[in-house]
Amino acid sequence: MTTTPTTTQATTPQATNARQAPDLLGELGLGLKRGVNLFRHVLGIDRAEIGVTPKEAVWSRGKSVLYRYRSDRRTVRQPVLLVMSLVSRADIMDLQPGNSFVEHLLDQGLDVFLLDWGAPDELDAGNTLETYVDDHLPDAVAMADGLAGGHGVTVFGYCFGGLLALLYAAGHPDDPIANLVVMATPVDFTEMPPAMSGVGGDGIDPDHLLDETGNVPARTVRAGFSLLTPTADLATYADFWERLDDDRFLESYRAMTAWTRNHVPFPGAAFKQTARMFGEGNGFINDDLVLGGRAVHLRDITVPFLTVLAERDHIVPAEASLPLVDLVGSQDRTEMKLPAGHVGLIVGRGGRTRCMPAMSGWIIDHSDGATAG
Amino acid sequence: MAEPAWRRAFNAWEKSTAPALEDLTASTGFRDLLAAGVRWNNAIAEQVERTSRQWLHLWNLPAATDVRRLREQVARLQTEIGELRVATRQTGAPPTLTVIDGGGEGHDHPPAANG
Repeated sequence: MTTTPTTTQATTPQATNARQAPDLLGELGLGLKRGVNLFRHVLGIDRAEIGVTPKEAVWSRGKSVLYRYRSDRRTVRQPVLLVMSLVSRADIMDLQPGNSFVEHLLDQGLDVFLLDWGAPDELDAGNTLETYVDDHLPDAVAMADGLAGGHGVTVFGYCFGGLLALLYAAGHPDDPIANLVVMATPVDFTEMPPAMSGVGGDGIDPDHLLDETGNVPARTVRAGFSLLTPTADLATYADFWERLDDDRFLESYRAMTAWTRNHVPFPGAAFKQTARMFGEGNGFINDDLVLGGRAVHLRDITVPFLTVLAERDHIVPAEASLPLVDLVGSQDRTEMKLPAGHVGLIVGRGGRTRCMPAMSGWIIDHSDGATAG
Repeated sequence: MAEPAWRRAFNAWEKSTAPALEDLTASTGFRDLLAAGVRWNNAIAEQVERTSRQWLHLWNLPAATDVRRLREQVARLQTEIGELRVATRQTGAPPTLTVIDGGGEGHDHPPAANG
């Protein structure tokens, strides 16, 4: 016969207190840490430093600046020129050390340039798409190409930057473009969320969104993004409160919020043109785009081409980018669908382990391996 | 580590509310409402601006619109100077104009600028 031992150990009040004391101390320590972190956050003591990879300005026009990242390990002949959206800060490409797309590209031996459009003011309210596509971009590409030895440039556009890169490559087929990569770039605007496509036509009059500078203010741009996921801000605050004692999380949180809450105004003339050509006209799909007085066709893009789609993109749904691969004229064209969100393609663990290597791998496969100057 | 009770409650609330809110903000009705709101807001701002301008002009004081108009004129002048500078460089004549940066996040213009 077996007997089940029952716990009959006597627990004295002293023993209970001895066990609870470390728990209490731990709780107190955690509470204190949360309090200190909250205090530092509210006072803005721990500001995130973003976009810190060393770089130098090599060209500028108006607010646009072309940067070249410093590197002593360039092994690929063709440089990569990153082209940003007009409404987001370029820092997302180089968020923080260890979590940076630029850093990853440099580690792969690439020569990296970044075209930062800057923050527009009254001076830029009249900037049209032609200003960027036919004026700034061709000169920036020529400058990057010249500095890197004249072997052509891999133009890499992100989101609206991809749209600008498409217009540029289609309108300037003789420019020194070695490859064209666009990431999370919409072409079918009927598939875009209404908060992105609801301007113009029967929707909001584009003129009504301009402020006294003639541009769409940054707060309106941010509100547009917030409308896509109305509870996202609250969820972000909940994450922050829950993980207030996690220093690594707080570091990433500060870096991301420093970027997401810091949009730039949309130049008024370019905004109205975008609403007309794409929001109302769906110009890429209808193939009726006219820029600078001449027709622009995506089929005129013949360089090796990569379009990257994010499966969980809530800003540019994959459906909005899907037709693109069939619209360009390139013989060598690839569509890459990656398991990420709009920003997760180049930020975070998934970006680092899956997305960035896939994209840089394609670029290196389509470049020459000799060392550049 | 297990999620605290408040977070589980928040997640449950978000899971049930977010899709409905997203559908609402994506609806045509919401877009029309937003458009009407923007129009209404602009109309009020215009009225306030007109009244305050008249009042300030009564005292011979400049209003925000006057400053805005001046800023626009300066912006246009700067654009023209920039174009002149490019044209001068293209014709080979030595540039004699110095451009004053338009404020904001101004940048230095390196010698290699404009390729």
